[in-house]
Amino acid sequence: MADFGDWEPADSLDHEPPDPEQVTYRMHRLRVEIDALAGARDLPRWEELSPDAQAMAQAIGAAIVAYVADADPDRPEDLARALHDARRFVATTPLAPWDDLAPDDRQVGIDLMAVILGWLAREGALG
Amino acid sequence: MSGLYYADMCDVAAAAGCRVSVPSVCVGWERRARSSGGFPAPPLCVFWHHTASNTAPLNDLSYMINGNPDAPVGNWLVDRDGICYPIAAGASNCAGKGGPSSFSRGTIPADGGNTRGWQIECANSGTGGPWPVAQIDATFTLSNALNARVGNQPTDVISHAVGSGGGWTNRKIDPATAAAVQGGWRPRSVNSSGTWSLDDLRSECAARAASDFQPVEDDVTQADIDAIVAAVVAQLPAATWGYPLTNQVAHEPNAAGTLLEWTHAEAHGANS
Repeated sequence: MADFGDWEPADSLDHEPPDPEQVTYRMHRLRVEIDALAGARDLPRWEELSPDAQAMAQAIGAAIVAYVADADPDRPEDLARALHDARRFVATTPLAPWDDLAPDDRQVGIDLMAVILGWLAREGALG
Repeated sequence: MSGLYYADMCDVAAAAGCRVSVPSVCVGWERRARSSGGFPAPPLCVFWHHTASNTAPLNDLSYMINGNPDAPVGNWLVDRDGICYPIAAGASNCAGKGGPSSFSRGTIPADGGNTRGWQIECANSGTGGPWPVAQIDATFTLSNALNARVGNQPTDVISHAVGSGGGWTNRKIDPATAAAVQGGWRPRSVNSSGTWSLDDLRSECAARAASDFQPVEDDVTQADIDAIVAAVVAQLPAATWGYPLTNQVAHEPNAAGTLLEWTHAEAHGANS
C-alpha cells in the first residue's frame, strides 16, 4: 500500500451536480471490479465495449443521475430496485423481477448503489 | 461530456517547457473527472498541493487515479525529478472544504475549489522531504502555463493551507516545508508546519512569468537569405553554379541566367 498521507473525504466536497457520463464510467469500473472479484473477468474495459453497449451504459448512468436528484443516500435498495426494473424494461433477454432474485444477487446491486450514492454524497452532488 | 475538459493541457505544458510523461496508468486522462464532469467554467486559479507521500511516482499515480475512493485526486502530479503527469482534464478532487477566495477573474465560493481551480499535486512528504530544484522549476512552469491557458494572471495561485491567511483551508499544511525547498528561491515559512508563504509563491510566479517571456525572432532578412544561399553554394563546385539554365520547354536560355542567379532570385522571391 502506497504511503499517501494527507487526503481526507472533505477534500472531495463541492456543489456541482453529477454528470451522467462520469457516473457511467464509475458504474462500469465498479462492475469490472465486481466481475473480477467473482472470478469471471469477462467484462470488457469501457474502451472495448461496443457502441451499443456503451450507449446502454450511458442510459443507465443518465437514469441514475435522474434518480439521485432527490435520492436519499441511505436507501440504496430503492435505487437498485429502480434500476433493475429499468433493465427489465429494456433488456433483450428475460430478467427476473427484483423480488425473485437470489438474496446474494440483490445484495450485489444494493452494495453497488451504496457505493455510488456514498461517492456522490461525499462530492456534494446529491440535492 | 458536460463541462470543460482541457484535452490540450499536455501540449500546453510541453510547449511551456515541462517534461510530460503519460504512463499507462494515466491513459484516459482526457475524459477523466470527478462526479460532476468537466469544469463548469475556465478555472480561476491553480491550487498547489503536496502528496504527503514517500513513494515512487507510479504508486502516487495509481492511488490518485484508481486507489482513492474519490479519484481522480488532482489534475497533475509533478514528481521529484520535475516530470509532469496528467491525471484529469476535467475537474478533480483535491481542494474540498475551504474558501472562499478571490482571484483576478472572479471568486471561488466556499467549498467550490475542486470545480473552479486547477489542482497540482507535488510528490513530497510535507514533513521535511527535499523539494529538488527540478521539481520546483517544473511546478512553477506548469502553474504559469495552466493559468495562461485560461487567461488568468500568474499570481492566480493558492496554497491548500490557509497558512498566514489567503490560502484555502485550515485543515491542511501544504505545500510544506519551506525549509526543504532547494535552489535559489526560498519561500518563507508561515507556521510551525513549514507551510510556504503564499505571498512568496505569488511573487515568484509573477517573476518567472516575466522572465519566461522571450519575443520570437521570426523576421528573415535579405542578409539572412544571402547567408543561407552562400552556405548552400559552398556545398557544390563553382562550375555547377555557373551552369547556364535552359528553358526545357522552349529550348531557350532561361532569363534567370545561371543556376546561382536563379537560386538567389528564388530565395529572395520566397521571402518577399
